[in-house]
Amino acid sequence: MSVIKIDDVTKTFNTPGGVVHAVNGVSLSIDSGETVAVIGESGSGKSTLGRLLLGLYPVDSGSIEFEGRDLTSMSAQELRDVRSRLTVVFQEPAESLNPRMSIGSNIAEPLRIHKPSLSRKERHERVIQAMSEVSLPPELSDRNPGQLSGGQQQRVGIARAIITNPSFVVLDEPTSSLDLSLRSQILALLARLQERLNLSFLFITHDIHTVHYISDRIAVMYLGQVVETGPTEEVFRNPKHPYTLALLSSVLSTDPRDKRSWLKLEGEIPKPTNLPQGCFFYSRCTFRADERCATERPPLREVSPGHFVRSFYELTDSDRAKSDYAF
Amino acid sequence: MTAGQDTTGTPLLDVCDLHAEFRTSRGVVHAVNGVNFTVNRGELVGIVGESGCGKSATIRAMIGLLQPPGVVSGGQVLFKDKDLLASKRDRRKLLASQIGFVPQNPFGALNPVMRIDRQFVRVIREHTDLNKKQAVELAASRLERAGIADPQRVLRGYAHQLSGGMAQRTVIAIAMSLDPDLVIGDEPTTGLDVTVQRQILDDTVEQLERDHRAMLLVTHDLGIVAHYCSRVIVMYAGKVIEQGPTDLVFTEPAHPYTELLLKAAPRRDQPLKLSHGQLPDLINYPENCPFYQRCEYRDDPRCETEMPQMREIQPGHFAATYHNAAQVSVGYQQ
Amino acid sequence: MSVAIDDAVEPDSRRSHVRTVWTWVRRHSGIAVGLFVLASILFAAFLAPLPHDPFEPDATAVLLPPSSDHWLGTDRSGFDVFSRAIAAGRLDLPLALAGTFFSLVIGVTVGLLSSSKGRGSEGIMRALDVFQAFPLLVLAIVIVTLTGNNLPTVVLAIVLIETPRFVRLTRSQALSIRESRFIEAAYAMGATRRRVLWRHLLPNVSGAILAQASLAAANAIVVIAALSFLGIGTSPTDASWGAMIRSGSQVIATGDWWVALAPGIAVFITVLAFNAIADGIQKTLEEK
Repeated sequence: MSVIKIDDVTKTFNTPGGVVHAVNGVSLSIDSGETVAVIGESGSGKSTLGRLLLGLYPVDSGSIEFEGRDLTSMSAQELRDVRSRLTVVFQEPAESLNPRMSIGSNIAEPLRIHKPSLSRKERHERVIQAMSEVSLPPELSDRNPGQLSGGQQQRVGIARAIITNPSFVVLDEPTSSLDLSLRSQILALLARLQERLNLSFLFITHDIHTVHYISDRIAVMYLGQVVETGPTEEVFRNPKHPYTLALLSSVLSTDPRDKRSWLKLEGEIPKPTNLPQGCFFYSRCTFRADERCATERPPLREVSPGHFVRSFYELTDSDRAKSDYAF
Repeated sequence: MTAGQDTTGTPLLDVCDLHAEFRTSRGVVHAVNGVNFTVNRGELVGIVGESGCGKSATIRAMIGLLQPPGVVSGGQVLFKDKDLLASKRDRRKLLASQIGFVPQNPFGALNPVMRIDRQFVRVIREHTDLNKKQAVELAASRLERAGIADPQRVLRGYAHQLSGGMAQRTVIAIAMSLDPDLVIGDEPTTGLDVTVQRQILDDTVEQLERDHRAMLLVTHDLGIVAHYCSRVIVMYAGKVIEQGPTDLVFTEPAHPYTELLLKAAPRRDQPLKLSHGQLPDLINYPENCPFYQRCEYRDDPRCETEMPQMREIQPGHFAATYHNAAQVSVGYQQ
Repeated sequence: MSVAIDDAVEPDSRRSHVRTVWTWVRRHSGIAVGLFVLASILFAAFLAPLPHDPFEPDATAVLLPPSSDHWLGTDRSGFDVFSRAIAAGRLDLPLALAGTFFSLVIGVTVGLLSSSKGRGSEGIMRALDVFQAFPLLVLAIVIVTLTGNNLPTVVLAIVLIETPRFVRLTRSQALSIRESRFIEAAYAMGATRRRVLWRHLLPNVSGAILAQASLAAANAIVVIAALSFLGIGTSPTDASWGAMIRSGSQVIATGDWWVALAPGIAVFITVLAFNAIADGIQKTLEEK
């Protein structure tokens, strides 16, 4: 039973440098209580996808269903109402809080918007409750965002995202700006909240470690397309797309004895204003095993239950072994 | 005088008791507090620590890039036996020709309104006798060595036309163009895509090793240090709290903070380790161990009262802690 | 350089209200002093008992130098300079404040409207450019003389002179803040555009606008003094600093230096007070 169903969504932007094809035909679904991680590097379209989901940009084509209703055909007011059930936590905690409002006000803002009939006392109670869910001492509610640390600010962002009892939260790189030792705290908090409040997450990130810890399923994006998707364990164990393998194998372990190499990529990423005719990954791919690679765009195919790949060539075990990749 | 000195001769870089502080309206922030370390010829050394540990301030203090209200308040930085802190003129000369610097943001290092070839050639001609044609040739060859496929196109263009990765490669090429003996990188690949980071680091380190150049790499990414650096320096609250061969420090960390850092990096086979507590007040610097508040061991009575000094744990491996970590190992799967 | 402290709650010690105010005063000394000076001038102008009636000339006491009776002497008509200079605050200061207030309201409104993406906004900016190409003081003089030599037209002149800076400032601030993450977050929470404007955008530009308002008021004082110096806007019987300076300038050649001194100093102090407030606000904004 899907909470979110993204169906063949496309989005372009007109910029002075040309038409940027940010998202090119992405389909994805997320079930209740599930965490789907979208992983990709800059220009992959993952952040744009998050914003499309939140309705901050309109889609060019395709549809997005949330709890069975089509977001793309809603009126502006209906869309605003939906946002009590579909919330977001942004990357830079300091910037996503209003610096002229107290912490308590920042957290209470969604309540003011969606439940204006609440009394001040009721609102305050709910703010304190949200703060305790994220382990923030209630004394901080009178402070200004600038007086808090990065980790505390991010917890404020999370409190704000859960205060209206949403069913779905978009997390756009919520730990990327935080120090290593804080990241694990926030991730553990998110995992705990997910269980307690029965939330579904779309977790956008470029950090592989985080993905493995927190997600049930993963979607790898490259130049606005999903190139591989499936259960996290499965994709990590048997990556089938060359880009996925390069990405996963590029991660450096902290064990200095681990001298594994990686699937080294050469060449530059094509510009999103000038997408190639064939497979988008062709310019950096070291396999190019099929004659269609340069001229045709591969479709997304199911290679094993729930595991989809967009490629004419599927990686084999020996390919993975040659790149020293083992999971 | 300092830990980690190579027995094969005088070190290339010898930082002695470096102190730096920031004079702010709230008080004096002691950012760098008695930092000692060395880098030998051809050695690849990493400095790690989280934000606020003073690693960037240390580098900037070393090469004279510390902006007010920051000021160097003590110590020596000996590069080939010349103190960089003593003479501004010496420092500038050395910096351009013998020490290459690669900052985090390549677009901050490149002039946005000047063509790349002009900037590059200017640097080359300021320190060599080459004429313009020769300088351009040198620039092109260095760009190619840095992994840029079409050097001519880059030279004829401007910084904003380059992607992040290409801009950083350009900065690296410029930094290495005069064959410096030491290359200092201040988080040079942070912010770049993971695959691009890997590409650049592989290429750059390969080149450094081939030319027997030394590297001092400041980063918060332990994986990078584990993979590319033979020695590591761990900083906390403006002090070096552990240093030694990466192999040893990362598999048998002696200082509880190093242990925390290694365990905090989420790894596939391990549940996340949480940390509690706060950084010490850099304005009223504690008299005891700066890590005391966050330490889960505190297993020596001196932890609360005295400042631990650097001591040798194993040959070449030093740590400033009273904790006896003999039994600790991070436990990697074999 | 900031130090990240996680899990720390700095104790917010309980203070009495008086001490909190005093701490604020000490930290924002510029603003506090400026406000105090302005408040004193207003208070003195309207409420303080003056040694002599500023509106009743004493024909027997013409051009007397400063003495214990007339602290700053008298002018050509026999007015006590000290009392009249203070009383002039009844006119000049409220005029400046009124003019600044209206230009702020109009300027901020126009600035906000023109900050949303639309072709109209470019038109407004070009219109402003044309408008600001004229020497505004000359424009003010023309307007006042044409529309009637009275006080409301003086306010109108101030509004014309001061509004452009508010439009530009508000627009540039709004444009830059619109791109902020917390504005995006507000929309993501389901806020309407109106709510984002009032609750998120405005409070974050208000600091810069207030600082600018203070500078505009300082400017307005000078403009009003200039106008009344030329005899425009205020009537000859009104006590105003500009007119007093004018009458003082006419007798300075004959050695009667005190007539122009008091109003001159009054203008100087008032402008300084406004500037101090503007500086103080700027500094507070920078600290954030």
